[in-house]
Amino acid sequence: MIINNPAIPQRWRAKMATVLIALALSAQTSPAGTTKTVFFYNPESSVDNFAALKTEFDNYLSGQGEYSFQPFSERNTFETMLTSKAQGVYLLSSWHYAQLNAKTPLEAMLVGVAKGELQQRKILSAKDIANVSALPGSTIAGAGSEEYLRSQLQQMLGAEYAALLPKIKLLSVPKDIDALMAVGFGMATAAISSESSLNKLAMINPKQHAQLKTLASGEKSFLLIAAIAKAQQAEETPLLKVIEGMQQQPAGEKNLKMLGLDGWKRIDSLDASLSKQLRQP
Amino acid sequence: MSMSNILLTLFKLMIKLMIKPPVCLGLLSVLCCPLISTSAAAAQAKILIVNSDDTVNKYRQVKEAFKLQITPFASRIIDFNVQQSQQPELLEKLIKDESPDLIYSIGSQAYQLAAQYGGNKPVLFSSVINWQRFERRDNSYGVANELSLSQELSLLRFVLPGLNRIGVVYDPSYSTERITEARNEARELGLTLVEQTVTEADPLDKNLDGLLAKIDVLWLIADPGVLADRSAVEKIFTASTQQKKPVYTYSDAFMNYGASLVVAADTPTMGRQAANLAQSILQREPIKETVQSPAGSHITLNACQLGKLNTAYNSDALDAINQLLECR
Repeated sequence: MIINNPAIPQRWRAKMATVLIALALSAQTSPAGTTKTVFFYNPESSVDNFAALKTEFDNYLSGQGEYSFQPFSERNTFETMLTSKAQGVYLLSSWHYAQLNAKTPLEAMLVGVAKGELQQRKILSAKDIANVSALPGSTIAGAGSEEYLRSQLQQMLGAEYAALLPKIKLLSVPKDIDALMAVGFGMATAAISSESSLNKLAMINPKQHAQLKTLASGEKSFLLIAAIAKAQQAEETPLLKVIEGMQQQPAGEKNLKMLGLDGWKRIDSLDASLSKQLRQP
Repeated sequence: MSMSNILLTLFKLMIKLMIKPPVCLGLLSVLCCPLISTSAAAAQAKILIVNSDDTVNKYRQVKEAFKLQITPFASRIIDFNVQQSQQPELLEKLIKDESPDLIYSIGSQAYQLAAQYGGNKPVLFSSVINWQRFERRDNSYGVANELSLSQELSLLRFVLPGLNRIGVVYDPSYSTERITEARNEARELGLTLVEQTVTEADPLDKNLDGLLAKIDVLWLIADPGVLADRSAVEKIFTASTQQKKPVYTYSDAFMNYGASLVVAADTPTMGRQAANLAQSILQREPIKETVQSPAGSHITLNACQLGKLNTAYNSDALDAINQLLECR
């Protein structure tokens, strides 16, 4: 995205982003244009794959109707867009959804599925230290924004070890597997990753996996959420159906894999105990 | 026990020992001084960033990521752009005038100048191609520009798990140590490293076809003895395509030749890593590895080329791929 160009000073980016969003949205609402958009932002990953996502999803969605895909790399830009015009479908992490819902009323409609699971648990693994009390002064690697990583760590350490947080250095890496390998190869003391990524490490590098021990674990959280603005339910139904049907087509399935998913499940088909967690503001 | 509790206990102990309160406080402040100065060192630090060339995108990215991470811990950040200044000797004056607590150099030219003029200041480097070729002093730290061969092998297994016989061509005068490390790592991962050396007496042309016949994938490492010129690169890719063997390598520059998978270091992560290292240096924390391997990877998958070679990739790795090239 042009606003990510390092030549543009940071202070100008938010202003430019706002102008660009306004222009993009005015183009979408022009009388001739009826294109609906899927907006994507995920603070749980730092993989710079926005160009690939844009190309692959635009190819897939444009074959299903007048749809397009818009990934975001910066949270503020995504949220500015959302408050400017709450239309379309939003793919976002459940962590972000819970925070955002307080400001902008959204309705979760679909939840991502990976290897049959709707939820994941983040864990803190280390090689050379026995427990969390040895963490001060260390570097913890993890994928995602620093804000996300710090919140996960805070949850894992709990009140008992909260005082350790300011003494820990966080290293944001593109993906879970980088974080886990950073521990194995000595660039970090510990890693925050999902349990499923730890299982992937067991397949790739069994020795490194065997050397890791779990220091702490977080609460379970849902995978990616597909949400719409509460007032837009009827209008967005066709696009939601396209997203829900992705897993039934090879190209759609491949695109879902790029988001780390195998498919979607409707929120209204979940057990009441689960759907309640996503329906609460 | 927290620091405040420790200090309170010490204070009570001194009172019990009949030491007057003002004296107690004086003694405690002397005791605390090193602790306070160490933790505050990074926050008060003046950091000089020497960039070889600000117009190079990768250098700019690494600098921006470094600044973003280090700013809360630095009192002042000074920029020096070698290319723009046209007078590298100005750096010597700047270092004398400003006396920075740490010099962060980006790129080979910046690192050489920082090492030359930096005196006893700690010098941190990144984006230096093949850093081992430079002389390093005790106060020199860095983040390597290349992933270790062990990292490269693990990521190969992640993305292309079905390919177990890995062919590698190397010049023993450049890569013996790295190949020894890779051989051990390959064994740990259950992979077979099929090695072919290249020397004057044993040139690339002579053994390439024989090697390709024995392997599942060719691993092209950064070895100047093998990748001596464009013609050598073309020979390798032509022979690999003819024998329908995918090529796995370390730079996107080989995508145009038909590489199937490229794994390189992620540039912004290097900047963040350098910032964490800078913090550790300034806080005088023990540093295990003075030169670290990059912690983040950037993966380009040429699904189109793999399709032509009838080679499957791990679809569960797709969320880790930065660039995906499909046939259009």
